[in-house]
Amino acid sequence: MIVEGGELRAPVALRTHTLVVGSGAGGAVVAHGLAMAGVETVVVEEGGYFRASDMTQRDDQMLPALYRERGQQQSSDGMITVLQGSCFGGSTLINTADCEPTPEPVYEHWRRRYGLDLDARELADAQARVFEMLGVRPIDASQVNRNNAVVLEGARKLGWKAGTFQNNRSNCIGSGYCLIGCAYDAKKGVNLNYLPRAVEAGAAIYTDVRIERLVAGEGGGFRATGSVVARGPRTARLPFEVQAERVVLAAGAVHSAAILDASGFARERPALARNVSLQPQMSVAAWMPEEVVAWRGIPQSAFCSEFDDHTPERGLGGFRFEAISGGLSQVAAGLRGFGRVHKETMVHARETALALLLVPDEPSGTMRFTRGERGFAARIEYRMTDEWVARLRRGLRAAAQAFFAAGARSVRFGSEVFEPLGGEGDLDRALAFPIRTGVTHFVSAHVQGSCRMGPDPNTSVVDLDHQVHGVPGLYVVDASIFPSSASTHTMIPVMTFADRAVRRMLARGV
Amino acid sequence: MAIPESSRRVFLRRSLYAAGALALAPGLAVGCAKGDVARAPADLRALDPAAWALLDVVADTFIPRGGAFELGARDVDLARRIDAYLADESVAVRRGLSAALLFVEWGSPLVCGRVARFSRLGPDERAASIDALCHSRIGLLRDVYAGLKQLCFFTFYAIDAVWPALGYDGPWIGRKQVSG
Repeated sequence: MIVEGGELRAPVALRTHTLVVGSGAGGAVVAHGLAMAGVETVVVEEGGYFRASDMTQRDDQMLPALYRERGQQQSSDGMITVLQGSCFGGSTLINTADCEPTPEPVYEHWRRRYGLDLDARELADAQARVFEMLGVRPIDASQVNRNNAVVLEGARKLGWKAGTFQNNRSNCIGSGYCLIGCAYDAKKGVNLNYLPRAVEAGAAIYTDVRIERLVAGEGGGFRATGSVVARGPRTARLPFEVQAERVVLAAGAVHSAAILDASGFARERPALARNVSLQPQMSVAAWMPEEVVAWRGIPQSAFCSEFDDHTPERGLGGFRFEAISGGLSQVAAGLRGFGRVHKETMVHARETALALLLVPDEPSGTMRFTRGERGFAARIEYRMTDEWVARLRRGLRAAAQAFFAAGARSVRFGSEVFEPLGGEGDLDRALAFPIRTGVTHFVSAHVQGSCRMGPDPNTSVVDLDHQVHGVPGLYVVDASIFPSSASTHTMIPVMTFADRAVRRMLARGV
Repeated sequence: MAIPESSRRVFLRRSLYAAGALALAPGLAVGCAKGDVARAPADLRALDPAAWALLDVVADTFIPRGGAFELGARDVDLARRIDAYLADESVAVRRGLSAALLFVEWGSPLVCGRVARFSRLGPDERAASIDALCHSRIGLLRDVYAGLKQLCFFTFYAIDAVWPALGYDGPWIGRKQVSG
């Protein structure tokens, strides 16, 4: 049963065994696993339920519909736009469908530094089940569009390692609108597999419902309260309440922490809403001598991994760049300048190749939350370290070098004040790239870490079974549990841990 | 469509009110001259005529007519479209935008050494004023630039009539509205 909030006309009070808050990569896998095992399960999702036929391929309509805070959630200084899906299927509906597992050095880093006793076989089995359900396969060479081919060409001319992703698409026709929802159901997000199968197995899913507070019962169990919200403004329409034996928070790295905070769980858990990783990315745009038409075809199929530097000591490290495309209005707003100069840039949109430079970071951000008529708002405090900035600058130089090797006429970055690089002789200017609020633009698609996993309640929020320290029956299963950045793309890591989590729940006999 | 959150964040900054107030020298009239205000549409939903007139001038500076392609902000009634989006926004956001516009009108020329109202400057001088905000050492002024630019560019480049000039052939499927 899938119930959309708009269908509800009176306050709702439910009783179930397990309440799953959030229907994205984590919540969907958990709900599926529990429902298949016969556990009475209710899933609530704050966003709306959108089908392929609802996808209009227009940024101005789909960004507000599918993304948290209309696609414009930002760090407190405004420099980093923090993207999260907020709809039935969560970020799996709006991501680039890249299936990148957690590298083994990262697991080893977590074992050594954070005390996670992770079993390699258990994780490998979980990942294999996820891959099978999603139908993960390599992107065929024929599906690599010109924009992505430019990255591959540049890297290969320089002798750098490069490759194409595995993905969870089938029968893709290459319209290019993956980031605002596939209108053809070619991207196999959890909206097309885990969630419908959970429903077939008996799970009930309520969309347009926001959970705002949990109260633990004295004899066990929880009372979760919130609202049915109006789609669009997300203002409260009706009270919504669930009594559950178990609650699984899978609302994402911002909102799972927000719910715990609003429920008073922060007081004895000092690690809550801390240790946040944003893994910021910066756009790199190259003016090419030929047509690229970046907006058609799979937006992100190719990457350059020459500078990946993942080690057990550091975890995810180095930097990498990956081709990307986005909506015209987003690209326009991110390109330097205004007036006739900007129009001159935009008229070359068909010859513009785009990439994102991804620079893994230390988990050092924090969040604070306020609750208003539209739900939680997070104040995400994030400071870039000197080491990270130096790595960013080296990465910008390398990405530009690859574009010039592929024939670029000029290369620009996500800055309003940095003059475009005019050629290879200009590359070292990237090493002095300025970072200033208001005129430097980053994007984060992989917010992680606000409810860190670990054995020590003083330095982590959940234990190795995803259960909140000291609160039996309350779990967190999303990107918030990662002690540091899990991968360059986080869908597969989240789903792998969710599969592991639900099996551990079931193994406990609950 | 809604206004970009990045713009909303800027317009909700309390310090913006102070900047807007400081920019208003005592005794000066608020907003554009009567002629500009008279051009305001009669059916504005969120902005008053003076604020609309300022936004119209600012949008024309960010996206002027002519150059690499002909269409500019005024050709698509950009200020009026933004006014429509603002109708769904809180009073605080609208006030913030008005403060930002007032700052641009009275303060931005000062930033580049001109004692004049923004709306009275020629196109090149207006562009220089906006550029001065962008390159300012003061974070708030850069934020004003960013907030207004995002507001204008997100709105302008989402308009179908703009796309042919850029070689963008638009969505592959039929279009219909969805509520977000």
